[in-house]
Amino acid sequence: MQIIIDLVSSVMLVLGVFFFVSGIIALWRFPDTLCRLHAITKADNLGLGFIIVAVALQVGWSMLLLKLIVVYFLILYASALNGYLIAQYTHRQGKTSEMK
Amino acid sequence: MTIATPSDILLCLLILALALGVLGDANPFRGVIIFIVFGLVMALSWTRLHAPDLALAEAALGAGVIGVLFLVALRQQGEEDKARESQRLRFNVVLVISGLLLSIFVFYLGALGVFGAWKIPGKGLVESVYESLPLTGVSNPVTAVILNYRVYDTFLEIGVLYLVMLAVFALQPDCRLIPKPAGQHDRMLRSYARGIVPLMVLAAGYLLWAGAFRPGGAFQAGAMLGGAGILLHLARPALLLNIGGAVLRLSLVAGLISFCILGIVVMFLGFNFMQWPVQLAKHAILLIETASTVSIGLTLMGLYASLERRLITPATTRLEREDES
Repeated sequence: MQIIIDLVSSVMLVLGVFFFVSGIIALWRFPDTLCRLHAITKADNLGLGFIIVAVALQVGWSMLLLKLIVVYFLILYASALNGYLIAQYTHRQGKTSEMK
Repeated sequence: MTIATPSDILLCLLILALALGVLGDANPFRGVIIFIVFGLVMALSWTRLHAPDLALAEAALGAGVIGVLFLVALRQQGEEDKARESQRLRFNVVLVISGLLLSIFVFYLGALGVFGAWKIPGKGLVESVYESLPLTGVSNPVTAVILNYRVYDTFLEIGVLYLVMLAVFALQPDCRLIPKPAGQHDRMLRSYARGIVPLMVLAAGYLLWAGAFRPGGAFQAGAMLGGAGILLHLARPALLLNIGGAVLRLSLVAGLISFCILGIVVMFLGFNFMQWPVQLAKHAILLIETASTVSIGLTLMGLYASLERRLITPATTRLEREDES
């Protein structure tokens, strides 16, 4: 049983790291702010989600699990707002299409 | 003594690279961003060194609040820097070279064994700190050191923070000339602030209370409170101006005043200045920490708010001048 849990959680961990790394590459390579924002929000949510699932599998049913879930939702909330604020700022500056 | 793992070495290299990036980058905006990352990596390294207190403070103050202050200050500088970029680069090269020379000098001193002279003979102070922990009123050794053994240090730190705030207030343009900021009608930000600020205040209270027996304390809680205040200020800029002047001023000096008053009160009980009696130590520390938390939080928020307000002023005066002409 423990082996299965370990296996699943390590797969989740690798997936999470993969999403984070792809988010970083996107941040680096994408042409303008909105594209980067699009990539980074997904990478954040999925990467962190997978890592939280991986850690949650390891801790099992406990107070820590509850804390992890709260942390995840707080970060989701914050990153959604951050994305909105940055996008709005970019929109106001009229920099939506730097590549043109 | 534990051996450094590869990730530790990577962390060290990362810190060095980021530090060089902060000083050496010609673009100040990128420098600030790297500084924020630097703060976060520093927090990680403190965690690795089993110093969660410092990690909390570093993440909240070093990366969070100071990063925001830098960004605001940067926005204020505006265009004038762009012309001086090449000069700045040379200046940064000078900085980096002098840093390298300094580190070589320090290594040289270390090789000579100069630092050995500073070592405390014997086993150091760790054992004596733990031995007299029951007399301090708290069970967390870090809090015991900060607010009991070396309370004078902390008193002066709070004083310095107060002086900084005073200087910023004094340098501010006349408040009566500044119109009330209209208030950003950003519903998303407001609803976020409405949901998160109470949680942040709760977390600050927890950090304050936890300081007695586990990592946490006035500075961490104050930084959390300051963050909440900055968020509130962003969501409703007029809020800070609505607080009555006397209340605000008293809360700003609450930390310093509570240190002074309690320090003198124990003198009447026959102790030295700020020498907490064993029975009262816990209450004294709790009182001081609470007052300091409020002061630190308000100071950080006030620093941000006053920087923002100065941002607003030049534009409005320019507008007024245009109206006159």
